[in-house]
Amino acid sequence: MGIDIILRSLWIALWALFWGSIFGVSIGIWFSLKNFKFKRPLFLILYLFLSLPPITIGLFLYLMFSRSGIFGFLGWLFTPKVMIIAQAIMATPLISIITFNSLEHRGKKIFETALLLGAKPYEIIKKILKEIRFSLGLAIATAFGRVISEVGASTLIGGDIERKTRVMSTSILTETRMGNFDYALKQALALILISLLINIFILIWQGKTD
Amino acid sequence: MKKYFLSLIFILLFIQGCATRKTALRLVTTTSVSDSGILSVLLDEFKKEYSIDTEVLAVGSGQALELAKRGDADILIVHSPTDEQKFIDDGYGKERIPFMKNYFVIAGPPDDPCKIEGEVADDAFKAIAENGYSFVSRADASGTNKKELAIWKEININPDGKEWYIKSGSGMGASLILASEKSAYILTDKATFMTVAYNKLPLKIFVENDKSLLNTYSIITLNPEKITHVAEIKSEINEFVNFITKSQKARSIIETFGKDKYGFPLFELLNN
Repeated sequence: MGIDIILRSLWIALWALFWGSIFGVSIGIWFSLKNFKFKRPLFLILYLFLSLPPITIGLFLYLMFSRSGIFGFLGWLFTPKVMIIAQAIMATPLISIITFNSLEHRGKKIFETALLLGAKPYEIIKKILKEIRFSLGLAIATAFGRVISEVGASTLIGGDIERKTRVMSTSILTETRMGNFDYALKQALALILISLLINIFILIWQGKTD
Repeated sequence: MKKYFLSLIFILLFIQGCATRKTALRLVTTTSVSDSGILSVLLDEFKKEYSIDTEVLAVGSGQALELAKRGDADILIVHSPTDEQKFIDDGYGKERIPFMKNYFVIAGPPDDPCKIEGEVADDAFKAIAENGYSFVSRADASGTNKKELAIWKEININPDGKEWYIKSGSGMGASLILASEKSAYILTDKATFMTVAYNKLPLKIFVENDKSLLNTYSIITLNPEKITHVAEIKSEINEFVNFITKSQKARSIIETFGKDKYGFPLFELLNN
């Protein structure tokens, strides 16, 4: 009974981290290499998203993906897809800001050195990622902790539907409210264990790529 | 790097395979129906017979109707008769078929500080208000909440803003737990009380079998002219309605659900 909920939580959170990392790292690298006119205001928006309470993200997505909203034709409300979008929106600013911060002074240097050595574009990106792997690992782990434990937006736009969108955090809420403390406690322990495992995995990965 | 990336994708796809199902008929219903557990029995049987998947979104009746207006529901099971009629009059709902009932009850701390045992609902509410004793209200526009507000209105008492009037803003199960923690009185449907509170929480039923506390559950289909997406799943919806309201299987589930556990069924059939 609980296993499918755990797998679903992981699947949603990992997809969110996948998209969050792609967008986050791209934005971070782009910001650190290029200077352009609207960089400051864009930065402000990024920081705004960082401090945006998840429930407000949930509310906006709810209205957008409801069948009478602009993306309503997709029929994505109360599906895992829109939960992934919400969580990716939570992960992206964190990852992009940390990517940028750890590249701010070195980014251009790495880029130019690599270019001088005749590196191909994907090799440059690889080099950059390797340089910032510690802070990037930390950013992804923090983002993971943020998205997998998030409950407000997940309940609002996921609906806590059994066998569809019930994840660990929302099931803990529902079961506690129903007085099933045993079950809620087991889910909570599983949640803690998974966070621990992911963090260990990231630590090992950081060590290996030395 | 590439290796990690590929293995990550592989893991994601694997987990995806384990965790997703295809789209299903979305039934939006009240917390009292889903918390009692009768719905999962009915839906399992429905799936067995028609191989149609269903998914349940449990919210208050008020929110259920709002959700449906926005087009985010396929079919409804609710228990707020006045709102339901308005929903149909406004052109959102097509058909309203009452199919089962039970009774609301008033429960409270076992020592019954306001001495409401055996009273009718109106007098019980009056006694609670006069004593200024804690009372938990759902305050979420659910069917139960609407019923409670109707009783206050009938006895000309406005509890809003009073010290003793606790608004929970959450589902029936959560509100019962709150009432027991605050040792307060509460209006609840009997099914949820039996499932969540009976023998588990320090709460006791004092007012029941009051005709004015009748609780009718209806299935509501949506008007495809206003909520267009239901036209595409018309046959599934029809089969679901027929199954719940007409099939012998569903009727016998409703008639017997809870009997083995509590000695009496939690719901009764409505003959229409």
